[in-house]
Amino acid sequence: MSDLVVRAEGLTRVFHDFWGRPRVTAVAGLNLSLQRGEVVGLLGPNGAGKSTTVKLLLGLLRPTAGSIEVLGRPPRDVAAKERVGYLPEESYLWPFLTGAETLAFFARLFDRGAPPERVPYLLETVGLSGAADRPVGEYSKGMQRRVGLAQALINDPDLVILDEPTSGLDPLGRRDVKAIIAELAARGKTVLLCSHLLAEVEDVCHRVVILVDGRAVAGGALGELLAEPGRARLDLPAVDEPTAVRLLNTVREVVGEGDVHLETPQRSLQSYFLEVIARARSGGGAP
Amino acid sequence: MRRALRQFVTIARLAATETIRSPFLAAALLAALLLAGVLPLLGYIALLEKRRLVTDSLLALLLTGGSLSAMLAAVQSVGGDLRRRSAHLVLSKPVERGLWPAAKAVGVSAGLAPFWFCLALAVLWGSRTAADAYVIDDRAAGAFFVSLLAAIGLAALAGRRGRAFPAALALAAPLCFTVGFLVLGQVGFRGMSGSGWQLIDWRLLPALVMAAPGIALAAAVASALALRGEPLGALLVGGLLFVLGLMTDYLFAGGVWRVLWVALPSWLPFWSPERANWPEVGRAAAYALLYGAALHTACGAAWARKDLP
Repeated sequence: MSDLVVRAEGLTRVFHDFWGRPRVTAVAGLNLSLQRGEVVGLLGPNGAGKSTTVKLLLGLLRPTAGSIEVLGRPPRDVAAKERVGYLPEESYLWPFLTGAETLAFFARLFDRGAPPERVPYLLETVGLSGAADRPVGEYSKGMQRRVGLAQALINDPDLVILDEPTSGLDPLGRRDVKAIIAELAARGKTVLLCSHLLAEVEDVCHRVVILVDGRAVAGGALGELLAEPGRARLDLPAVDEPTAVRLLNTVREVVGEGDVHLETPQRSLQSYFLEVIARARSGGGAP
Repeated sequence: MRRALRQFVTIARLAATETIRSPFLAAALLAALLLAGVLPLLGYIALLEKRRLVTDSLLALLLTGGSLSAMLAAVQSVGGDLRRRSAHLVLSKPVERGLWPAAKAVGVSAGLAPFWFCLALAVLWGSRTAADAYVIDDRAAGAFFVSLLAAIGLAALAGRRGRAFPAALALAAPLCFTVGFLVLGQVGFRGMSGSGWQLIDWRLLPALVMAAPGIALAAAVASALALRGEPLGALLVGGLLFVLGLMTDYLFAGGVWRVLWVALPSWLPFWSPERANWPEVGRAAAYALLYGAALHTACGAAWARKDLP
């Protein structure tokens, strides 16, 4: 299999009004390529063209100009769709079907269906085993999001397109989703992630593309984009005050009287929250 | 081919379930059954033709009510999926564009089977209630309303146990009306010779079966119209086509109008209560199948190019 999973060149999509006059250019000359095993974040403010790009990749919209290949085929080719998974921005599921029935419905749309154990496996993966036989209409928004994620993975796709996958999820759910994305990448799957939550994109993506007004204005590997050239950070165990003063003085002797400071690092609220929940569930108190 | 067939059945089955669970359809079924129960009881100035008048009215109710309900259900199913974007999710899977509306139309038609079945029984029931030109068969009329109440009661009971009332009614109504019909068949009518079965006009059977493809054609037309994503417009155009389709032989019989006679759907092949026979039923079914397939092929070409924003 070629390592190039998505190739879009000069991708342009113009929406027209009733009279056929150009109304808005949602995507303008976008070049995008996704390699096998990459997790790529598609970022941008509202109306930047993220969802339009996703719909172009899925063949739901046709480009006004430019070309797209998904897994070496046009995006509308059913052979390409056979290997693509999609989680839309909102969960558009049928409220009267149970979680298990919803997954079984989507499984039957694929060439070889899905192995019988795939549905319970995915329900377990997204944490819905206990609610498999409840109608989706009775699910909370977070649970609907989870079943939506499960349907996106029903065919064990090579390319997974996730539009705001953590929308409506609590921190535990967000952590689970990030773990699922990491596992997909480890298995050589390609993930395109659209999200407004930059911290989450930062946690799981190898690379980002930033769209503004339908154009890619920045992009590249996260490590390169976020590095601060000319700065260095020393990470060490906690020390008492006299030792800290000595350390600072030593460093200042080497690098000069510049912006050198020593502080206690703070973890994120999310990691603190997850730790509290884990302790509470295991019967412990707050850390 | 096997994949396409499996997808077709899967989407059709979901559309049938959606239809059966539709509150609008449940309301339409109850209203139609209530009307079907009342029609044989009305006073007619029909000389000795009362029975024919009643059965003709009931057949018209079956075809008109069934077709309009099919249009409503198809627009609700196709238009609803487009509006909610469930269609986007299904079409992001390896499903050919043209397959989706066709499967929807078949599914909606299948979901209307309880409606057709109950109304078809009501027509036969009416032929018994109005068998005598002057006296109403009160046993038949009573049994009809008892069956209707039993169906509503059973569906309400199932509703209390967590089952959706419309879905429960779609099962309870055919069940209660079948039981009622079978019981009534064992009971004769005072003053008339023969058992209850002999009082029913079985010659109506081909006309009843003939209405089914007419209902399916309405679902096919409405599902094709709903692909534009404007449910209200689809319903209005569908309703207009249905009205025109009841008069095509009279409006577009000759000249340049003949083009419209060919192009527009006609519901006249599904309506011939006096002379309906089985070959005619076959011709009606073939017309519905061929017209539906041609319509979906033509609309499918435009639908395949349509963007789903």
